[in-house]
Amino acid sequence: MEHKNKKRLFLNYRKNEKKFQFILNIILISFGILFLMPFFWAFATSLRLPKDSFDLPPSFFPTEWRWGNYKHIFKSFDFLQFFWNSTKISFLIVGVGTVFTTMAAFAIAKLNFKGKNFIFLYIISGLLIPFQSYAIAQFLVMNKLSLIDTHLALILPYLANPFGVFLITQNMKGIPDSYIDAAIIDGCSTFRVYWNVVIPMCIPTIIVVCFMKFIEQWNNFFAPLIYINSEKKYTLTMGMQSLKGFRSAGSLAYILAGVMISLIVPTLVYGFGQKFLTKGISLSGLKS
Amino acid sequence: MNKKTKSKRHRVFRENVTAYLFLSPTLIFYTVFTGIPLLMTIFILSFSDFSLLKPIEFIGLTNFRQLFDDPDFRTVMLNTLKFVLIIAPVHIIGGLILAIAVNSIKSRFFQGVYRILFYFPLVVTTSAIVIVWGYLYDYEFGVFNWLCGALGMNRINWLGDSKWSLLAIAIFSAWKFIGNAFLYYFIGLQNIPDVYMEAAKVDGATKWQSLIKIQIPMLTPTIFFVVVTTLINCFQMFDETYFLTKGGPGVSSQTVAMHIYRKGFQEYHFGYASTLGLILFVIVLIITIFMFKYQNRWVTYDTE
Repeated sequence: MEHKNKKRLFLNYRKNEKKFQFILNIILISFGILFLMPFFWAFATSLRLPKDSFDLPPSFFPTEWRWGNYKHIFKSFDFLQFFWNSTKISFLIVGVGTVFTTMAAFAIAKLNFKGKNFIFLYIISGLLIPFQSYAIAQFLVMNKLSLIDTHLALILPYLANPFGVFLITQNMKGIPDSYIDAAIIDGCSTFRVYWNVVIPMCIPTIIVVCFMKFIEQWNNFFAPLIYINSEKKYTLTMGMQSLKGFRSAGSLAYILAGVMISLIVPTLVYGFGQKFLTKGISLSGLKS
Repeated sequence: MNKKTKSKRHRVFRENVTAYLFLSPTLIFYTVFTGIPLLMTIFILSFSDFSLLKPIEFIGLTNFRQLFDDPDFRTVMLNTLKFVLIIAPVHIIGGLILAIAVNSIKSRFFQGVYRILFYFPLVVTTSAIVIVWGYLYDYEFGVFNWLCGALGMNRINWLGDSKWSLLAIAIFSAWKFIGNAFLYYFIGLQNIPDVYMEAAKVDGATKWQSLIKIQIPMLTPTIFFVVVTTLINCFQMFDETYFLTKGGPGVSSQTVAMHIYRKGFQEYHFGYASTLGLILFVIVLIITIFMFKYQNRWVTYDTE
């Protein structure tokens, strides 16, 4: 009797759990679709006949497929130049900057040196300082170095990456010293320890740092806004602003086609990087 | 013995040199483009009058006096405060609720789908997607007003009316950035060892009880991190207002960060803009110190 009761309770629990999961899934799916609505709308409208762009009710799913809009905007707008500028800048920052970042993190996590706490705090404080608070002063520095209106002005400041140093240091601290001691006994130089022992053990976190830096820089708007004047050097974020100029020339569909094209690169990068996002941040054991 | 200490000293010296060699690229770029500019702002530029053509001239506290004469300064500070008060809780609490919900999903597949979905807006370029939002908010043709019409409400001038523009920006900001808080919380929840949850279940704890007594307390370090970074990000909000309303109508939706841009890079009052920068920095500094000082009242660190 008692046993039977228990079994019923258990089955009841299972049934409730199933109901709970079902309802939660429904809520989250609706929420997710709501999140994607702006994309649906932009995509559907970008494929409409340009003169129907503003027709209501809005369409969230493509009713027609005018890929010609994409061709048109690609031809009449200097996408390739902007793409190239943004790609060049973002990849240089990610490539060079991440090497610098892992080097600094390695020193802080695994080497002994004077003033370690101070240096760590000094670099980490970069996480908390708003860029706008020293933007004017940085502008003066750039001016002194004659870097105004060059891509270097958009690259050099970002080669130091406090958030990356923070994440990777946390990850490296978790690597047992015995690995490093063993490598040193085997005759590895400090550089070999860094490159062949420690780096391979931090790959997921390093990918996350690369990913976040790429997205941040691909989307950076404030720095190009203050430093870049000539249109040929515009990044995509600035180029998108001149895309708005097409509004007067007529059609929303063209503009939205441009917007959709601009989303391709971040979406691809996200598709590749998202797997590592949870893993990489977990490994660094985010404990401030 | 003497030889040994000598060689030890030599080794320590060499380790110091190696460490600083490893640190040097980061330290150099960080110091030149962040450290020095910040110190310049704090100690020199905020008390000076200058522009690209005019050399730096020390003028004492004149810039600070000018703050009181600047009619926009009050509005801008209030706007920033309003944004922080509206947006920060949405991110901090909304992100937490989302994360708890997604974490409760049993199916790994759906968990992955939600994770990818909610983080996605963060990835897309603000300057591009904001064009889309501009049209969604459009007075005549926008989807939002079409919805208002369908619900029998009057049309709202989302971006042109100072009563609504803050809300419009806040909605966009929530949509765009909630994924950040969500992701950190979600990872934090995933990292809570299963043993704790299993133990609670065996002891007959309900879902609600284990949430309040186990998950949230164990998540406090992550919550702390999210609260600090969200507050700081809200104080330096620039892109959203710049793109959606240009700070308008008038200065009714302008933030401190935008005011710095306008005063500095559009009106070329470099000295005054530096002073505004100093104020922004001090506000963020005070909040950070305050948060760190009182963290041990509510943040529990896992001692393994």
